[in-house]
Amino acid sequence: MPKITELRGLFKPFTKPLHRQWKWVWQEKGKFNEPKLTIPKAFEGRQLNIIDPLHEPDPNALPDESTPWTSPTRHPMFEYLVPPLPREQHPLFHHDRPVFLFDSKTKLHAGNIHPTKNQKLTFIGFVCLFKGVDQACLLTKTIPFYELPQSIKQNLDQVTIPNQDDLIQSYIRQSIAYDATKEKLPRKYTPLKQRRSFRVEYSIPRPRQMSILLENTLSLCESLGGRYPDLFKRNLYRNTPFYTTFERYGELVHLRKKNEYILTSPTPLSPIVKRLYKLEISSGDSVNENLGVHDPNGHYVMQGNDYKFLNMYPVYPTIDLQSEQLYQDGDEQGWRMKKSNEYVHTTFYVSNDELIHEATTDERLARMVMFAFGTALVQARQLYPNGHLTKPVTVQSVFLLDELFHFVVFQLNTLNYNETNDQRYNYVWIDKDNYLYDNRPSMVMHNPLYGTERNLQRYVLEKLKYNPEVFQKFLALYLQGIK
Amino acid sequence: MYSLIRNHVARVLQQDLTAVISPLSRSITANIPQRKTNDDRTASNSQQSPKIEKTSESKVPWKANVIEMPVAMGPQYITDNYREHREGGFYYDHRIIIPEMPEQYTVKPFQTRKTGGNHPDTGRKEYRRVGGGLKKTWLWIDWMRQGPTEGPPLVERVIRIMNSDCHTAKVALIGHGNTLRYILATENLKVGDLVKTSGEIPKNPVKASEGDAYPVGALPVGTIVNCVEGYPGQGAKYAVNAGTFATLMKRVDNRCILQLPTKHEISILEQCMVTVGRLSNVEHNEFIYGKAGATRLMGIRPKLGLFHPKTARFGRRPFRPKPILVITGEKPDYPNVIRLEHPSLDPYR
Repeated sequence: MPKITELRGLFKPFTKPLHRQWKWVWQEKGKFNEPKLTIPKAFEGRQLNIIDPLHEPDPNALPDESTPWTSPTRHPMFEYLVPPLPREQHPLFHHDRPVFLFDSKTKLHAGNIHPTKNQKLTFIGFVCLFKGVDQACLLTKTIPFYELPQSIKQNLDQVTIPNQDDLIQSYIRQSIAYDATKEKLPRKYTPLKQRRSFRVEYSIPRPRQMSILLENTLSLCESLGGRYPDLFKRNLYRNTPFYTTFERYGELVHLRKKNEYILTSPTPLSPIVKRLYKLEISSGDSVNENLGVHDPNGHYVMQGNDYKFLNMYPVYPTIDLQSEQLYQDGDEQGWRMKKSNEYVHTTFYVSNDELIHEATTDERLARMVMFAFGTALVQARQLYPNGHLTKPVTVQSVFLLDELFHFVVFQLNTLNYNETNDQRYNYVWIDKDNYLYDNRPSMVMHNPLYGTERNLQRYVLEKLKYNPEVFQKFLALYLQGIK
Repeated sequence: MYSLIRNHVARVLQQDLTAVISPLSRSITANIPQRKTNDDRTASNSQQSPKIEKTSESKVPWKANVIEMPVAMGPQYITDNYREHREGGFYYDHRIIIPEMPEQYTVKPFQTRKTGGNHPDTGRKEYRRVGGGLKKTWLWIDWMRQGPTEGPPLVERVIRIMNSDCHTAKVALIGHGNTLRYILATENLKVGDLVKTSGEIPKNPVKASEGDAYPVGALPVGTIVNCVEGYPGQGAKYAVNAGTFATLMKRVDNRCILQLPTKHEISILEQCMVTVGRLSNVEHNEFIYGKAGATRLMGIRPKLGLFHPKTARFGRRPFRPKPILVITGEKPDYPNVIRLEHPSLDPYR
């Protein structure tokens, strides 16, 4: 006789609720192997048309009745019922050659150095392995310099507007506090902690803040038109489309963007490094001594020779670019360049939806470098359709987000990106991390200056720590190309 | 060697020529000595003949010595190996459903839906103690590490190491060429390491380093190994959790015998792919939650049974060692299995 201790647990399939018993029964007995086709002995030798109802019918045996039914007419009133064309039938879909797409949202693998507090969460800190700017320079054959060119630095403090500091501080206050709009802002979130919830806020939306600041500073700069009447011939365009394709070692790269603000002038910018092959400078003593008499041609050329391009074996630099087959051929800059009264002077990148922590400076600078390169390319192709550059093309760009400014000056020297033996490289001057005001209230938890909109307004009105150098650089860049 | 000397001499001569001639006439386009792009290419590259798998464009400096292999995972793998349910999507786990699966392998994280322990079709409770918790994002990990069967191995670089909500081990982002994929990271893997996979079985066993993937027949007896396949082409199945490893015990004919982390032995074919080393996050079992709320955040609901009687079923249960499991990987004679899951047969509806 078995003991009760040996029997416990064995009666489960008979004592549990019925649906659970059924579940277990089905798990064991609810599947059966499909029986094999058995042809009776009488039919063995013959050739028969076998129809197995457990499988699909043999297409050779039965006639094909799978013609789709199409309606006889297509009235435009019922077009909305017709499903849209699949992606492959779009007229701009290129079947032969896919293209690497660089959008305003691609990030060139520059990592964040994020010190994490909670190790349980997904966003662990990852080390910056490849630099985004270096990857962009590999793709566009440029050499970066992390400073503004000397010719701009010399002009920094020479032109001033009376009361410029007070005016700009008033613009900051206007953009954040004195504007009367009150809209529901999108909810804030942090990736560091999933459960942290922020209160809903009503105040000035970010794109409006940025546009107020930018447009007011630009109008301030334009007020120098009395002294330099050439400024009146410039134009400011908003929301112009932009796309180009260029070939880099046999791989097509497609740039696509909607320029938020773009400044054009009737004459093109003069290049910073004019003569690229002047090597008369004697090595050693000249580089450190001649700060007063700065020769850009030699200085930057010598400095550029020390730069080593990034080696990202076994990864290709086009790894972050998505391959697309839906793109438009040709160049587009938002206006017809045949009239050639418009040359791009500066492009302004005003990011509306990004919070500061969504992308690093490296990624933003890489994007700026790529798009500056694109605008310069389009301009060069218009001016020199043969493909041989006689005079280099320069383009400037400015990035703006809250208080953060990045300045980039790009000089295009070649149109040749397919040969390895060509030694002409483009130059980029980058000035990053310029803060218009410091100690902005942030969203860190135990911070006395906690970053709600109300605290932001209080900070801006009472305790603004203004940095006057940034506007000097802005003005100097604005006044480039004026005699 | 002679060609190298000759090129260097020619370069130096050209430099002198340009230094002399350029001040005289600016119209000559002189060549600045090229030092940059040559550093990317190794000296051996120019002499190797192009093979089928290698990109034979010696012009492109970043494509030199790089073998391209596409990712072997696809939605077909999922339909073959995992459970389905009515609405499509992917019933990954008893806790998680991924509503839409793309046609190709992607690296972007997926938003998931929780089951709460309920079956998605019948709506009934299938599993206890499941419910609530933080949202989980699912990463599609490439379980199949295929490598070239001839020639040099596939080299990849580790770009990022991250935690995953749905896996206990850490996940590494790996890239080569234009493809990125996820892989379970081994113990000592760091950002910037190079990781190899090869499908070749040479005569002498390979000296294996951590993180590399080889077929089982290529490794020496006694190596520690993880992400083991059952039959070649299946995808990793055994030793897939944090800190686990399997050991190679014996080699018999063309099969190898491994000991899994449960001390159960398994015999698989030589060509099954396997990665060397122990998986990361070794202190996973020593982790102390600290409070009940931590388990609730992970999606584990409380357990009943404090005051229930404990019988001989509970407690220490030593079993006899199981025999070696021989996996052949052959499809059975009846490949089509028909399952009774139609809800109309359910008496309770």
